[in-house]
Amino acid sequence: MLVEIKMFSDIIKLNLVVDDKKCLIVNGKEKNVNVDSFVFRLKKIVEEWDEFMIDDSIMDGLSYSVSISENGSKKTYEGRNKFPNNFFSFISLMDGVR
Amino acid sequence: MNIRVKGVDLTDPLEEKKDKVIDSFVELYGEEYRPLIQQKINGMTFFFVPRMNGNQSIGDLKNQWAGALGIKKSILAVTIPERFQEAVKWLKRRELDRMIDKYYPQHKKIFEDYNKKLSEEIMKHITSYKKNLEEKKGNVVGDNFSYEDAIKDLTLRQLVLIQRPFKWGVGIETKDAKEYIAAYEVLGETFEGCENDDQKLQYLQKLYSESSVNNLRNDVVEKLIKNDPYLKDVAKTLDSLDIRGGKEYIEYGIERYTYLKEYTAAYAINYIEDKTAQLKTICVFPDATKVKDSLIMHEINHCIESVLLDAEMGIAKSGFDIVGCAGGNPKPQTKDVMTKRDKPRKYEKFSEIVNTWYEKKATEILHSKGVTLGLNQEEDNSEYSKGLPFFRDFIEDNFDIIKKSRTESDTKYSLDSLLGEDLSNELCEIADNILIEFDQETICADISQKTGRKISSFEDCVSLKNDLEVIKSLDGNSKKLFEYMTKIDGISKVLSEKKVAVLGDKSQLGEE
Repeated sequence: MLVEIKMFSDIIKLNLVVDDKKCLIVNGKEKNVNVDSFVFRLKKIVEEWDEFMIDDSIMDGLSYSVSISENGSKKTYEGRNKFPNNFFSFISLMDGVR
Repeated sequence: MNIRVKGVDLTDPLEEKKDKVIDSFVELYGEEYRPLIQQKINGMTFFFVPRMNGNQSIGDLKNQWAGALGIKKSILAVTIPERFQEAVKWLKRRELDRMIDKYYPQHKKIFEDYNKKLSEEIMKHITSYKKNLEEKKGNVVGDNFSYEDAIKDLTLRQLVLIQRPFKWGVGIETKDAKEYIAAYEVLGETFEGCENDDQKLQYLQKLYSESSVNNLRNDVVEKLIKNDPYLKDVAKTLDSLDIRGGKEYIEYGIERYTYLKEYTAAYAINYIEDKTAQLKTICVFPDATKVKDSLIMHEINHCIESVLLDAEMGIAKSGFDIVGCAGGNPKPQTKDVMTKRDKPRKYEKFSEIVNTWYEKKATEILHSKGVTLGLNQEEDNSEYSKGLPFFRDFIEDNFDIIKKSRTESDTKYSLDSLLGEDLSNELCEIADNILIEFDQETICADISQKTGRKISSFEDCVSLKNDLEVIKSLDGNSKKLFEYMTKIDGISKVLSEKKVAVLGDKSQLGEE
């Protein structure tokens, strides 16, 4: 399994990878967290998401993307300044590893 | 309502300084741009969110939350069994601990203690009232949980099942399975058709509706925000604006970003004024403590550069990109539609780097006039500014055509027309990679290690771009970075040649 998360704004740059060795790396630094638990939560969160959400009228703001590759298939979710209803759960998850 | 913090009016930060701000941008753009700059800045609205009152007491906070949640104190006393009252209070606070992290960090320690006590309280109740739980089962409400129901009918089962997911934001985890199963069994509940812990966990996960928690949290957040005295004022100001399509669209964005204030310092949103069909801009600063002069100037420049292309469709131009406007119709929402139109906002990162150059120049001019605007005078260290060293020469060598390209709707000034699609795409890709993929700290450490020089910023890297010995010693992303610098120089030369054909041969920075 491969997980890639990117978030970018004027004050945030987050590049997160969960590699096939189950290492969770944030901005080049490995984090000591329960990777199974992280991935479990992430999958639960994104299962409600649309693949693409955008508020096209905003300049600056926040963009994000989540991609999960597993068993030969890849799901990608992207957004810019528009957020799924449970985005706070996602933020909570990111806060835990940043 | 005017809110003044550290001498700055948060409802109108420009105040009497507006003329100086206009003069600063005119000095940068040229006198012929004065009418545009005046019109644009005079039409701007600013929203600062000043959640920074360190003197606010816990009592004030409690009252604010109680008001926001629509809960009367008396409900607690009447409907909750005496022994649960304290735990209910802890629970309420636990739901809101993220709010405290974001808005009231000065009270964090107090609430961490509360959270610890919550766990202790719950475990104490489990032990003490185990014998009485069977008769209390009748009071358990269904799984369609609502805050009011919880307050009226809160039981131990709900306390135990709800408190942890609220903390982490998602459902019951495998590692906590035994704890949850034990808690559920303590309540005298049965796991129908379950033969082992895995099945019991799945049973609990189904029982516990995650979406209801998310809906509840969204509800709590919205109620809190809508009851915030300052944001009520924002809503009033929005009412006074003549926004095509209504204020709700903008209000939603302001609410979301109030909660996401740790994730962006500012944004600008374009809307169409209904009567005049003019494009106007609202600037939102979700955390007043982060508002630097450079940030305000950055957002003002977005406003100056925004050009309405089609009022009916709600399409505008911002920087080098085509964008939407609040109140526009239709708004492209799906990836398919966006992809057909063009790669959505392909210039965004490059455009923001260029805007950062404008921001810095305009701020320097403003400061040279002895004027400051924001609450925070720290130097700009935005993520965009990290890309500026690579593009500074590009921008300054081509400022005249870049200025035209960003303020006019004529497609002959677009970068696609001037550079050709391949080169403009390459420029965007370089900017995207520098900002998103390349980590300044990692690359500087790599170059320092390989060259024996002390390199601590991208600015230092750019200063070595003509040092062939240094470049030869590099590999990987560090080498790629220097290849990018060469490519940017090449694209800059192409643009310089093209601009002569488009503008004539009179263009130097500030001399147009």
